[in-house]
Amino acid sequence: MKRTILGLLILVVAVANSRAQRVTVSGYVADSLSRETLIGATVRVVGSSDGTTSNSFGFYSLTLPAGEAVLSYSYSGYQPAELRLSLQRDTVINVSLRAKDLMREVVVEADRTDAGLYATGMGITDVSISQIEHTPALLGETDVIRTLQLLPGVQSGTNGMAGLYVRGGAGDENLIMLDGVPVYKVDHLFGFFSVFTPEAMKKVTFYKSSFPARYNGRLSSIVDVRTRDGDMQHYHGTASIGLLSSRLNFEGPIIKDRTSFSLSARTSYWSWVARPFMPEDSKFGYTFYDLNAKLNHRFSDRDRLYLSFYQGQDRLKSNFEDQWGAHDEYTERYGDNMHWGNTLASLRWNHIFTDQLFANATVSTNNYRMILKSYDKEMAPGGAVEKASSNFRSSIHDMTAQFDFDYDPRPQHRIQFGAAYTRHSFRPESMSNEILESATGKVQLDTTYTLPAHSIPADELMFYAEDNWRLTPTLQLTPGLAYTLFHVDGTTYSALQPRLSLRWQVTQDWTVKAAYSEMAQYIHLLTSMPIAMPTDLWVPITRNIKPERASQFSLGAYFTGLKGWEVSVEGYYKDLRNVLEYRDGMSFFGFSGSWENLVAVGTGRAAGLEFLLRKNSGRTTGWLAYTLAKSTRKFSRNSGVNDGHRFPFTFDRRHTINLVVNHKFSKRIDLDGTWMFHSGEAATVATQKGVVMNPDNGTLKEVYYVPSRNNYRLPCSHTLSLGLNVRKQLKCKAERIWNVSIYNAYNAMNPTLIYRKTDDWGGYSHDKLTKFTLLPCIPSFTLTYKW
Amino acid sequence: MKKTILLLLSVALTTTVACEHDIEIRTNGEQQQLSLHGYLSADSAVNRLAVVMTGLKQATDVHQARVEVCVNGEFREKCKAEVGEEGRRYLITTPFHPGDRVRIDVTTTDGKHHAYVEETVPQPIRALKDVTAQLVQEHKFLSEYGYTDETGDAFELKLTLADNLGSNDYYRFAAPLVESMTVHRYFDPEEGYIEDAESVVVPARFDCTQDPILMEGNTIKPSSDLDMPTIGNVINRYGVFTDRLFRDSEASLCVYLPLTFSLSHADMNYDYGTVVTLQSGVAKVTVESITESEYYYLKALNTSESETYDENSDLTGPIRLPSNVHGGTGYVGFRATKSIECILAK
Repeated sequence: MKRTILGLLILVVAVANSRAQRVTVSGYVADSLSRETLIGATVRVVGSSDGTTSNSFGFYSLTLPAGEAVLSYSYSGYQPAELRLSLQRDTVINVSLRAKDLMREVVVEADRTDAGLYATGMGITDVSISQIEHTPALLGETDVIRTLQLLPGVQSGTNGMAGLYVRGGAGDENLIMLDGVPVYKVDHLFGFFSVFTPEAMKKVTFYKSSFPARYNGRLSSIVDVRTRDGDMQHYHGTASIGLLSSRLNFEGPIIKDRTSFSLSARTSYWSWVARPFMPEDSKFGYTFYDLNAKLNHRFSDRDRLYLSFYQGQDRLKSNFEDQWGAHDEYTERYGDNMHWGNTLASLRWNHIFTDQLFANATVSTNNYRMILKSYDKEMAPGGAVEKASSNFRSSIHDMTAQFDFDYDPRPQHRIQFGAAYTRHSFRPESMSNEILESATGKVQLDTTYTLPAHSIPADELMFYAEDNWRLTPTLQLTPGLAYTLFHVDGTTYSALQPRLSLRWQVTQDWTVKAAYSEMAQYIHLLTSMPIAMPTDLWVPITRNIKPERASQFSLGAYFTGLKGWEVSVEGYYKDLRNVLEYRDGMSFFGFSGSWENLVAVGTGRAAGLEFLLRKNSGRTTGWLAYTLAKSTRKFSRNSGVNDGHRFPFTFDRRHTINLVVNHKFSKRIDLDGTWMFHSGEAATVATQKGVVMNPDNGTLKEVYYVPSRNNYRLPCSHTLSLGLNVRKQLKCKAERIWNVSIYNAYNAMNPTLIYRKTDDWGGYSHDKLTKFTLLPCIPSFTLTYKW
Repeated sequence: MKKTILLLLSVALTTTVACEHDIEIRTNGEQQQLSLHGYLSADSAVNRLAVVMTGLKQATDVHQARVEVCVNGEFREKCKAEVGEEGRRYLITTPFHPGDRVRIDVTTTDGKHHAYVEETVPQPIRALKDVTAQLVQEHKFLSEYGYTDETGDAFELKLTLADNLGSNDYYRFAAPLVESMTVHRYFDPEEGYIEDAESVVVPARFDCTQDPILMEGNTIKPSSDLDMPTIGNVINRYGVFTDRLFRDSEASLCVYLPLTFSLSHADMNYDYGTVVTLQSGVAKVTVESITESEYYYLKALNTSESETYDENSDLTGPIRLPSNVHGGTGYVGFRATKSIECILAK
């Protein structure tokens, strides 16, 4: 016993002594000119495997043995910096990195330690803003989601749309966040463009496999979009004018080195262009806008405050006028006015408690709403007027408080932990009708049915902890655990979600990674269309519908033996439980009042192999990705979904090839190209004729018969898009960029929709389908000024 | 510069045009399916089953199928075919009772196709009572095609239902059968109305759009003078509903029977499609207990036949109708019914 006590004492003293011999270096890594913090910058101890990365706010902390040390700071697209230090006590070092003169080459984020090849986690990709700007875009609208579609394991949904279907998951299984706040409606113009304005963005990180424990609530992917903080030193901005929209970004200091702002706006003007070409009695109008604003204030080296605001909205208007009667004495005016969009606001406070403990507190609000107003006004001779109007609303309102901590006790450990509480308020549908008949002098008012009559409140609580642990210089392990609670409709669901990532540096050139992630999802998007509709409704789970769950296993090998090149292969298997599908024939309803009765709960599985060959540096950069994938769903025999037979999931495509090439001819001219190839996606087509029996009179009627859900493979799709940028430095220190893009350059007739061919009399052809191509070859141009 | 912008703009606008092309349907490996259809009632002495083979170009009757009926695991009957006005049907004379487990096996004579359906006959609804019919004038109907452009006199039919206890139940409000009636027939504008008295059985069209149970909470006001009554809603023509809103208790239904309707299905000596105006009569009001799968089948069928859904060209794609047939397709419903008579008088 005596020996044991003595031994323990010696151990405690040794540990304490060991702690006493360590010092912590911490601080922020920022751009040397703008003081914009750099997220995910690498900090390494030269000659050692010790190192860390800056977090989402640019803060890093590294605990080392006291004494001499050389620290290396690096970040993609920036000149690395080395500092020789004599460390005797805890030290704060804020480092500024200078951007490389790369002839503006596209930065491919491959050498990062929190994303990409060197990260412990798998399937984590940082997409640089330059990459987004250099991806040829539809109508010149550079788009983060369209860039993500080019990554292996990502499907685009309906051809030409900015959908996101990751590793066999559904479209509502992606958590897309703007400055940490989930965005419910992520697209404009029925899914053609996302709501993210490239000029406002600082960094986009995409997760599809190893999900950090702090991210929860969706099954298949996380897209974390961070906006620019604003230049602390200089005023500068960007202005772009394109075919569809114009964009403006302006940022600068309010108080130098203390307070900065960033303001971005985008608005479309298609309606104004098209209005003169519309008929007199019919007027359509469509516009959208996005507004990003951010204030950043540095109280001290230890305290910072960020205030972020985003508002985006789509507006669709239609107005018609009919006249009839012998002398056109009757007039009817009718139309719709629809607008929908998100408003997000967040306030974040960064506080450094100690050099090893960084904290971030966030309060945020998120509001999505859609309003559809219809009207019909009939005017008859004698002043008789009949007016009818209806008002349909759908909304979600979230209030969130979140606390996140980064604790770096030793170089081998980076511990992240925190908690979040969200109060959701869903109001999926409410509707009111109003009738006014003025001829009789009688006013009739109907404001009746609201479905449901009140909002659906839900409470979500989340705790998480994760340790990025370097076991040996070649072996890293990241165990994580998230625990979530969701209370709705008098029922509380809980989910324990373990995460584990392992990275083994086999040789200098070869790395092997493995990952396991468990995810839970508590809300669903009710959608029945292949395109994003404003009428799609987010609804929470109910007491009868359990949360969706997913378990994903991934394994990958990576080779970096060729300088500037990266080769990887990743395989995954995803097991999905409690997934929802509309029962056969039910999707058309699309209302939320009794939505749980329209869906069935089943299982799914997805598996795939993803190959990636990427060139990271030089005049020509880009990648070639190939994905072999399969995704299916299965429901019970009595579920009303495909008679219980397994079926291919929507947008299940067996083969996908994506080629991205960015080439710099000179300082003035660069050319970007993408080529996407998908083998045919699964679709439901009535291939035979059968009968149905009328339940009232027992008569038979011949109808087209669908043997199975997603029984048909559409033709393959392939799209080449090109973009040419011509730059000119102007005398006023501004830069002018002309971008000419061609979407679908060789005019491939890809199927956007498919339906049975009809003849001139409305009869259906028994052996032909009509393939509808929405996006043929579309050239566009954008003029941008940067100053 | 100005010229360049105008040129680029015009090129962009003129080329942004969607295209359509025809492609052949690939049907390689498509198998024909044995398709069974029928609505079999525990209260009918004879039930009829249609046996059809799906096909790439057309569906065809199966002439000499072997149809065998088992009840609660015991073989009861090998059915014979009969060709009536509605085509070939296999007659099932085996009586069923609520709670019986019924299995019907169908095999083609060449033995290549075999399909079966197996269901439990549901329990009839606990009670129907307090049925009344009152004339209302100038009722604004949602027409058969879902538009609010029809106004006329109607019988407001009210009925109280008592739900079965301790179970999730699915029901169908069948179109009321007008068993005897006095009608006015519109004959000629100059001669005016001619009164006829007939004894017929006519399924009456009914408007249930204001009934919260039949519309499952999504009622539609007849005063809504809008072309589309409500977003994504489909009028419940087949009258299927659940007990979700009145589980283990009672509820009232309210539907409207238009006085003016077509006799296209009536067994009368009128020309096809003759329009008559109901003066008085007796209606048989029936509520059928159906299975859960039939509830969803009829909802899907209703949607596929609704005017707001455009078969094969709707963005949602073609509707796949659910099936309870193993080894084949189609739907065979099993019902237990309860009826009550209602006097219709102006």
